[in-house]
Amino acid sequence: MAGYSVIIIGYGNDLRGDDAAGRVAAERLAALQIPDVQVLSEHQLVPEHAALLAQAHMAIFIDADLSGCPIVRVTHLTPGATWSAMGHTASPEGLLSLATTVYGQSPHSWLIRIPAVHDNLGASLSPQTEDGISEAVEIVRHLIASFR
Amino acid sequence: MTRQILIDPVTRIEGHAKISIHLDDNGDVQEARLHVTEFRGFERFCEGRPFWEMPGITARICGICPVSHLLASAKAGDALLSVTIPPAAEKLRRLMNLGQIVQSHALSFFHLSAPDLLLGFDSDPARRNVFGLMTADPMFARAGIRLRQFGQDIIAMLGGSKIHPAWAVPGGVRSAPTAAQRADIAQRLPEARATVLDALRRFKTLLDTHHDEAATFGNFPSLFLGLVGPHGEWEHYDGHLRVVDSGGAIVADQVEPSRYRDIIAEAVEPWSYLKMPYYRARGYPAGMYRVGPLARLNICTRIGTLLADAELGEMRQRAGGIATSSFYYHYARLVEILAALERISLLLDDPDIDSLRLRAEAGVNQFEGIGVSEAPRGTLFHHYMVDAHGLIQSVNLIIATGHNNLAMNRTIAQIARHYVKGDRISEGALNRVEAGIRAYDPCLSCSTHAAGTMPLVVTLIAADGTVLDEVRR
Repeated sequence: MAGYSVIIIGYGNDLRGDDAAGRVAAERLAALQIPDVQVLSEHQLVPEHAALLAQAHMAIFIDADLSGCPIVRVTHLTPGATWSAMGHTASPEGLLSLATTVYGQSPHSWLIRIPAVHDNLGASLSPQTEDGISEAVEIVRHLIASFR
Repeated sequence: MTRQILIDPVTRIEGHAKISIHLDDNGDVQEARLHVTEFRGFERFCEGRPFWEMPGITARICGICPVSHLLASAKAGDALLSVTIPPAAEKLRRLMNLGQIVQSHALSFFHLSAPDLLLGFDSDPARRNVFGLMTADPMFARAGIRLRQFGQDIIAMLGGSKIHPAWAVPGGVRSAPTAAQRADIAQRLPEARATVLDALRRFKTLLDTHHDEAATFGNFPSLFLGLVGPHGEWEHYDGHLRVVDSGGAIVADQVEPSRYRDIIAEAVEPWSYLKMPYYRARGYPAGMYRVGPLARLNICTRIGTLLADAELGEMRQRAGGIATSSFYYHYARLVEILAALERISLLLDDPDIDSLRLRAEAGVNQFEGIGVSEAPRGTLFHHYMVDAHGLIQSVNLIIATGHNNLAMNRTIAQIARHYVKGDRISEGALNRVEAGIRAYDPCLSCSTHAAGTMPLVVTLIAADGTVLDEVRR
C-alpha cells in the first residue's frame, strides 16, 4: 500500500443514482492502470484514508455535486481548519488535516466535483453525469501528467 | 406564544437531523424533539430482488455499519434457506461483528465524543475536536486512531473491503482468513487492549467530575432491550431477546427473535420520518426502551471474559446497579471494546475456523426470514418475505437508531431543561444537547453523503398545539 505517488479517491453511494459519479470515475481510472497511482472507489471518506494520503505526493478526490452546478469543478484543497463538521464521514479537507496532524504531512490535493442531477435509490446515471464522468477522467489524467 | 429554538444540523452524527426546543410562555423548556427529515425508502427499493443479493445490497445502506446489515441480512437468508450454517461460518461472522464493534465504538469515543469529554464541554469550539485532542494528548489520540484501524483491519481481513464486504451470504460465508492474517491480528491485540484500558481509566476519572452530565444526559427510567445468550450472557450476533427494566427486573426473556413483533410495536409521529418503536405490552410512549452498548450491558448477567466482566462489575457499582443515564453509553462502549478484544483473541485460537466447510447449500425452503444481530448501536432486524423463486416481496428493517428514538427525544428535553435558559443557547448548552444525542452514536440517514439534498421541515408550534408556521425546503 505504501509508496504510491498519487492517490485517487472517488466516493459516493452507488445505489443512489448520480451520487455514484465519483466511484464510477474512479473505477474507469483504475482500469487505465496508470503507473504509481492508487485508485480507491469508496462509499465515503473515513479517517483511515488519512494514513494513505500522508504517504502520497498528490491526492485527487472525486465526488458528485448535487448543488445544481452544471459544470465539472476542480478545486485545489488545503487542510481544513476544524474538524467540527465531521461525523462518521470525513471531508477531504478534514482528512488532509488529519494526515498533517497525525502523520506530519499531507499531499498536494484536488477535489473534482461532477454535476449530479438526482440521487434516487436504484436510479441509473443521468446523461449529464455520464458526460461529467468522462470529462473528470480526462481532467484527472491531465492533472497527473502535469504533476509529473 | 410558544417560542422555538432550532439547532440544525446536529454536527458529528451521520446524516442530518434537526432539533427543536419548545419554550413555554415563561421561557422554560417545554419539550424538545429530534426530527429526522430524510425518508430512506430503502425497503421498497429492495422489492423484486433475489434475496441472495440482499446482504450485498443492504450492506450498502450505510458506510458506517455495513457489517451489521450484512450479517442481519445473511441471517435472514439463512432462515429462508432453513439451514444451520457451519460452525466455522458462524464463528467467522462473529469475528467480523466484533471487528465492527471495535472500529465503530472507537470512532464514536475517540473521534466524536472524547474531544467533548476530555477537553470540556465549555472549551473553545474551534479546538474541541479531534485536532484539539491531538494537540492536548497526542499519544492518546493516535492510540484511538490505531484502535479503530485495528477493527477495520479485522473486517478487511475477512471481507476484503472495509466498507462494503459482500462476504457473508445466506448459508454461511465466502472465505476464511489465512493463518498469517490471523497471526497479524493476534499480535496487535495487546496494543489494542492497552488502549482501551487506558481509555477506561480516563473515563472513570472523568465520571468523578461530570456529575451534572451523568445526572442530566438521558438519566431516566426506561426499558432496555437486546440479545442475550441462553444463560443471559452478553451477546452480539445471535441468541434471544431480553427486556429489562431500570430496576433490573427481567420483563421479557428468551424471546425468539423471529417473534419480535410480539414484543415490539412501532408508532409514527408527524414530525419525524424515523419511527418510534416501543415495548408493546407497555404501550406508547410508556414502552420506551433503549438498545445498544448500554442496554446490552444492562440486560446481560455477565460478559463471559475476565477483564470485561471485571469492568462490567465496576460499572454497575458506579451506576448503583442498572445504569439509567445515557452518559454511561460511553462507558459501556469502552467495556464492549474490551469484551470484543477478548472474544477476538479466543476466536483466533479456535480450531473450528480452520474448517473448509463454510457454507450450507440449499434453495428456498421458507417464504419468510428474519435475521437479527447486534449492531454497535443496538439490535438490528431484517425481515424479508420472498416468493417461490426467492424474489423479495417485502422488507422491514428496524435499525438500531430507531429503537432509541424515544429515548433520544427525552434525552434532549432533559438536557435542554437543565442547560437552556431563556431564549438563547450558550455554546456550552448547545454542545451538551448535541453531545446528548451523540451518546447514542446515532446513524440517522444511512445513505447519501451528499449534503443539502435532504428535505427540511421547520414547524412553529403554539402552546395550544396549533402549528403557527411550517417551512419546507
